[in-house]
Amino acid sequence: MTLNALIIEDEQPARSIIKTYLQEFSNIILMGEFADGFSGVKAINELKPDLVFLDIQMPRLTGFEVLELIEHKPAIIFTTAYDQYALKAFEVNASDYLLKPFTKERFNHAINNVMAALTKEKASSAKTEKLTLALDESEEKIQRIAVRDGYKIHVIPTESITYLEAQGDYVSIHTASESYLKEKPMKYYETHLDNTIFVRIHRSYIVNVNSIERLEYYDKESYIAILRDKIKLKVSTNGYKLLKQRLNL
Amino acid sequence: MDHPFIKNKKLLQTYISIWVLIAGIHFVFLYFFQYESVLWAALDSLVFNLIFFILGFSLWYPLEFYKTKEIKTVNLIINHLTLLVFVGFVWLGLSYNILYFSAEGNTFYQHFLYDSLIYRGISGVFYYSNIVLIYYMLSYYRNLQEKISNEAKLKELLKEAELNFLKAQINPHFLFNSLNSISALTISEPPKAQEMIIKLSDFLRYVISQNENKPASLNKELDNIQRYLEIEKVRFGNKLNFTFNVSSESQDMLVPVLILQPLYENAIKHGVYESTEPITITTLINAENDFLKIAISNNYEPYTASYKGAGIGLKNIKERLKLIYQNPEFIKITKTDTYFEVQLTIPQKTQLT
Repeated sequence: MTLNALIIEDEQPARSIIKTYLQEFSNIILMGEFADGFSGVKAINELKPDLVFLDIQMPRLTGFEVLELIEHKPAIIFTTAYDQYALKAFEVNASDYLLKPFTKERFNHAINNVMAALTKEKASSAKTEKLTLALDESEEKIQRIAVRDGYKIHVIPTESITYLEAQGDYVSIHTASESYLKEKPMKYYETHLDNTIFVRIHRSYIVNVNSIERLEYYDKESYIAILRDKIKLKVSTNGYKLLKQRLNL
Repeated sequence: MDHPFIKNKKLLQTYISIWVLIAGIHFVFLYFFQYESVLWAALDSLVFNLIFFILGFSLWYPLEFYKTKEIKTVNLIINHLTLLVFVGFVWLGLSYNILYFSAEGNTFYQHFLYDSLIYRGISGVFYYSNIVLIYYMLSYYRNLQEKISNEAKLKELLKEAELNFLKAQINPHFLFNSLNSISALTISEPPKAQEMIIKLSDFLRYVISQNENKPASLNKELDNIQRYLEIEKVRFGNKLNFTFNVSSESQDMLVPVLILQPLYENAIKHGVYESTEPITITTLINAENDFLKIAISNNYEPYTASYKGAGIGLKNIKERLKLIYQNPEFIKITKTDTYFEVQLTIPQKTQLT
């Protein structure tokens, strides 16, 4: 079995050691190497490799963001120096990961695991799904959201978001000028956005309190939030309570 | 600025008790030795002492105001004399007029009031000096306390900075990624690997061996920063560039130990980590009079949305500078969409603690 592989890693010495170790595997063809998350996503979607060595800390997009954005799901071996949140997720899911610096034996072991999994077909992509879910459970607040729009990737800093709206399995993310769709549950954003700024005001809405211009009575017990760009959002009774707490009313 | 009597109820009680005592003696003296009636002896004592009680209480504020300015002793004396004359006039003027007009018809008391003004004036000077003296003592005591607590806080902060530093420096990312680079170099370029191991060792040795209470010479600090940047350069290659422009007279000047390091870490973390384009860290150091002026700047990619985390390291430096030099103005941050600069001013005359 021949495997097509990619290396996505921002540091040259780190790439070079993977390449050196790979020389031993004549059945693994290195299709290319990329130094940041953007070109990594593009390369995975276009070249459709079987195996990717993916660094976690990279410019523009982290390895995990890359994982969220790719359509083609190859087997992935993560490489990382240190990341307490990720390590837990890896261990729970028995994903293949390499802690830098790693020995040749450890590297070979990871490759053999991947080969075994690939022969069982699909096994590895199910693993990736599970890993994504496990990562979502970490408590770390997010600072940006990466979304794919056709061939383009947008990175939205969270502070530029005015509000989020639930749309079935998707969430539409609104900034002052654009809106984007992302496949994630609303619950995820409720727990992962900075809760001093973002408040879930309704089953369908999470709002950035800085973008609210005023609140108006709708009827008894319920309110309407009017944003600076004149968009009106319903506020539920519970949402109003949360909003009051956050704004110290 | 807070009045000690308002802050400390015990002091206020003492102040009131002393005035009650003075008023009592005042009354007894007028009643038994000046043959005033009970009513006029009591009224006289009440009016004079109550007004001085209030004036004495308020004296704290002009005294605090004098203290905030650096003035010469001569001027201080002039200030006090002016204040004394003012307080005297207000006190005697108010009390005299209130009592004189209330005592219409009682010429015996009115005469006494007039004749006794000079003695009252003398007692006023006495009261004034005592109150000022007490206020000065209180203020001195308070400063002393503040200084002690400041020093304790500084020590704690330094310890914390050192710990953070060790943690941040021997920052797992930095350390493990550097080791990974070395691991790669041992295969491709063994001599370079050796060089990097030595640099890393020297760097760690410097960090560990620093006595946090002693200021370091700028030279030594910069040498270590150079080592740090060179180690990072192996990882990042052309993405990381740095230039140093250090004037020769500033080389031997002193800086608080390890105060610059977090600034370079920030530049790497927020500039280089997040960028795909080359980042240049520029250091400009000059000596101006008795101040060392340090400016560290870097460009960064505008849309990385991550310059937010820069807070903790900078806050720590700010706190340290504030505690050492009692001046919060010694750090200045300039930030645009693509450029970040921190300017530090390090005084050379003040003793570094």
